[in-house]
Amino acid sequence: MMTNSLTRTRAEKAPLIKVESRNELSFTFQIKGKAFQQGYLFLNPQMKELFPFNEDLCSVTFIDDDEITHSAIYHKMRGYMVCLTFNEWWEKKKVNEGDTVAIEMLDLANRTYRLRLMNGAGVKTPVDAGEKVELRIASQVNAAISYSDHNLEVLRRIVKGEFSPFRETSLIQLGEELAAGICSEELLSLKTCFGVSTYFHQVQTARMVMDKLNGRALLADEVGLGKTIEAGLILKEYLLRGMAKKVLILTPASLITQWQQELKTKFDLSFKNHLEINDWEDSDLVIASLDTAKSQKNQSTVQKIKYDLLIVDEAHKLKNKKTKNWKFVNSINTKYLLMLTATPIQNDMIELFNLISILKPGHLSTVQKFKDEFLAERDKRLPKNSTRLREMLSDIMIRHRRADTLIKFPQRFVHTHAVDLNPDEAELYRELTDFIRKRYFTLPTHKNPRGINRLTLILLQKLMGSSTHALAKALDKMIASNFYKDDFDHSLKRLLDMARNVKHSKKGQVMMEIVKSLNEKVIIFTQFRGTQDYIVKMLEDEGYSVAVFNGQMSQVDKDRCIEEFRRDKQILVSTESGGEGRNLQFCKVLINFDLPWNPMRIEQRIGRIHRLGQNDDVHIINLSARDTIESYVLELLDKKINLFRLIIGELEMILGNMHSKRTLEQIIIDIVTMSPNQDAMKRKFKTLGNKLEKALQTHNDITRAQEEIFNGE
Amino acid sequence: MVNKIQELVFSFMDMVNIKRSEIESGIWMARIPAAEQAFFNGFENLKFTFDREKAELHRDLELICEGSFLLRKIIERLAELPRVSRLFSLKAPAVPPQGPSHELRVVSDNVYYRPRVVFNFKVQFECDQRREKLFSVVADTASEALGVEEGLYTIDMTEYSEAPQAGLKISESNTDILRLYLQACQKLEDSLVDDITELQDWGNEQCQENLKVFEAYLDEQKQELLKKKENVSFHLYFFQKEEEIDRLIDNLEEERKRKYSELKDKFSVRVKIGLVNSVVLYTPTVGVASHKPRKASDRLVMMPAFASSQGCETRSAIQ
Repeated sequence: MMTNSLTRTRAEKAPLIKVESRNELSFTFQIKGKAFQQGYLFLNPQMKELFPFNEDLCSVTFIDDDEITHSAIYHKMRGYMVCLTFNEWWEKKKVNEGDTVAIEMLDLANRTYRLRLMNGAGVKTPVDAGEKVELRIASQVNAAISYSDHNLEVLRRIVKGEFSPFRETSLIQLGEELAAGICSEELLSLKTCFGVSTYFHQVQTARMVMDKLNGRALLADEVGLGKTIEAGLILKEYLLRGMAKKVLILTPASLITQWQQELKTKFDLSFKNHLEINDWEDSDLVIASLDTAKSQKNQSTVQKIKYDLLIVDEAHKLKNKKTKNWKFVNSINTKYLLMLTATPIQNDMIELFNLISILKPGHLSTVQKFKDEFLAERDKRLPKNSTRLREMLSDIMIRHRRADTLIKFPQRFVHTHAVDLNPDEAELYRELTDFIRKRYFTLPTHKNPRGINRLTLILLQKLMGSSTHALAKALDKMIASNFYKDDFDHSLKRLLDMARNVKHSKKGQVMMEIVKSLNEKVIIFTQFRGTQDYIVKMLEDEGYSVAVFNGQMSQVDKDRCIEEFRRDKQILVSTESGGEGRNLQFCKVLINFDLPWNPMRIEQRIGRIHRLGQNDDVHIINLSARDTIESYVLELLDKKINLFRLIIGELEMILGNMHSKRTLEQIIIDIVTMSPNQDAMKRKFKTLGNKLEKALQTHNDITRAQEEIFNGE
Repeated sequence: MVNKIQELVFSFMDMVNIKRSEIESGIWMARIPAAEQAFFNGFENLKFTFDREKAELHRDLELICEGSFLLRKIIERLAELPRVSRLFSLKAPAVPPQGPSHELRVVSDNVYYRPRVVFNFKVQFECDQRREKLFSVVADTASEALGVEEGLYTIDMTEYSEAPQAGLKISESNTDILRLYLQACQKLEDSLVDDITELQDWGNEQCQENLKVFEAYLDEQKQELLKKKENVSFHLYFFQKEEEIDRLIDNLEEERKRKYSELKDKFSVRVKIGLVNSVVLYTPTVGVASHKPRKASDRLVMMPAFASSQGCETRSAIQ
């Protein structure tokens, strides 16, 4: 109390400075006494008007004639400022007591003022008050340093005597100490990712990208070595260390959901796709297809944003410098950039040059020089000076081969059981397929909206391929809905009666025989809940312990189910949904009770048990009814591209070589629905098989070429 | 580390009135009050664990560990709280340290509290890479000495109490807290010079290296284009070709500017200094160092907090 009154009284009674002139933006005053030299500026009421701030304490910056910055703290309540460098200014300008000093407001928002000596030895000609000055808010020692606004609030508490219990003060300290301890050399992302076994080569990649490659790299591991995991580790590490905030992932549209799921389940990162965001600028974690991002609607917005990290999956799509894709990605402003592809070269070494040019332009010199130095004359896929090229690539590209990692990749054994349907099942199958083929050409129209739509027809066909029980359940629902009338209704009822009359499922019988012959844990996959119920009942009737997993279960129930399967139960019956990222490597036998037409889903099923971390060979058992669509699909995938023997990720690359805008499932659907009869369908499947064979051949050629380029083998 | 994380999380929950109970060994359930639900991602009941293995088995559990987002959020939230405390030493009175002018010590039988101020700082260095360091600056108001140490100041609470000893009074100090803070900042900045210079050198080197490669790339491209332009003969079609080449050269210039600013931004050094908290430590002291007569301006600015603190009367140290 005493000090307050003392200061006020003295300041009012004997001000140490006298204002000589004043206007709205400046004032001049005569220096008296030693206070200013010692770093204090006492303000009288006239001068205070130029510092109209509300806070008790605030930072004020003075810039002198030599553009040197002086940082001060203004104590509003007491009406003075402290600045440790006023003294330096005093000495440099050779200020004497009695000299006049001017203070001009430059930028009220940034609290920046001009400090000028008006007379005396070191005076320069006054400049116009409106003159533009480059503003720099800086520390006393180094322009790179800035102070948090929060500091003054801490200081204010001391000044005002607002002390807190020490447990609160020390809690903040504990937090900071933990944060500092956490920011160690170890990868933080490893500690918080789930359902993923990380391998040495993945951790090595993450470290290398962050420590040596300045966060810009081409991740070009061979398929199956987990490039997505590597990118996820780097991404999460940057986020956890506060080095990245705005992240954009560009991926083919078909992989958006898979990326979102993987990032959520494995790294607890919630990325939003373009449909889930209102504003690209306001969203920090965004995933989009390259086509969406470069669309007319979004392109300029994306180009304006300063990203911290950009991840481009399937980066081989940027192999051509003349394409919009290349130009667009090259124009995105980003601090860190990861490009993922297992095939940086597909047809031409220049493709590799173009990819590297986005990451680090000039790293491989110009196109002409690159061609001269590294391209063999006859084959544009083959390099010369490959040792030198590999050396240069090691500064920007990371590629691991399966052979280098020493990871034991267990084998896949596939066992296909071709089942002859029972006569009643076969008849139902034929009837239904005919029904679908006919109905496909009388799809609902404006005039006849009550027809069965395309998706429903396809669904009925798939249900039949799964089990008559699933089909009966669906038909029952359709009829009960009262939507399908007249002849549709009649046909549906007939099919339902036939389905109900099927007494025994041949596939069910075969499955039971297989299960009986096994004395270990088994996962049985089906696409449909109706089939799942049927399988579970059949198994339980025979006394098997069964765990049931499907997408309708809560997270807690799913956890419990997997845990029960791991501990006690012999069989898990699962629909595909919701299983991503769950660790099921303790099981090594998988039965495909039915077969999805989308091979990627088959691969996902296999991937649940055949993944990094599986130590035993894996057995995949397919149940396929002879002369059904499923059997044709199975033949395509097994015989033409060896789906069941491929490595995870390889299938996608092979299918990519088909260069089709439609997915394989869409092509299959078209074959099924557009073929007038069974023979025509078989022919079309054969043609598709040939295309797949070619795609596999291309894939093998590319793999060989890359081996030669990157490994000299 | 786990114990410290647990301690932090539980203390934080206590601070914001969140009740919790251990529902299974190593698994806790916290009831989140409405006001805090937004902070906890909308959870009304939060099930959490500090054990990774448990979190692997029960995927509905929030894992709080090194690197978890919730832990980071809690630390960030705590860091936003401006907190200062004062502590009183339980040690026997000691003579005050000598000031900068090595004044005489005047010893009397009067015992009083002499303040020292601890400023705990967090320094964040950013330049393509990012790291943090913690520092403490202890300012002795009697000796005017400031010492910088790496790491936050550790206080052994067995040696301090939050309440002063009866009968002991707090000395009036002539030190200005704002000045003291600025001096502490200056001292800290001095100690950071080597770190910053090293980082700036690294950043400049990296930036120059990248720019050099990039400039050469653009220049060569430009030369190739100019060479093409020279070979264009005089025909309307070729005039168009020339225009196209000029446009490509302009594009290169644009590219140069864009990349230059991107690289500068990536490799520029930014150092942010935050005051984590501050603690005023009072030490029982007997006698004072005799000061030179003070000038009027010196006496004007004082540490009002120390003088006006609740329950403490202010008086001169020299009786």
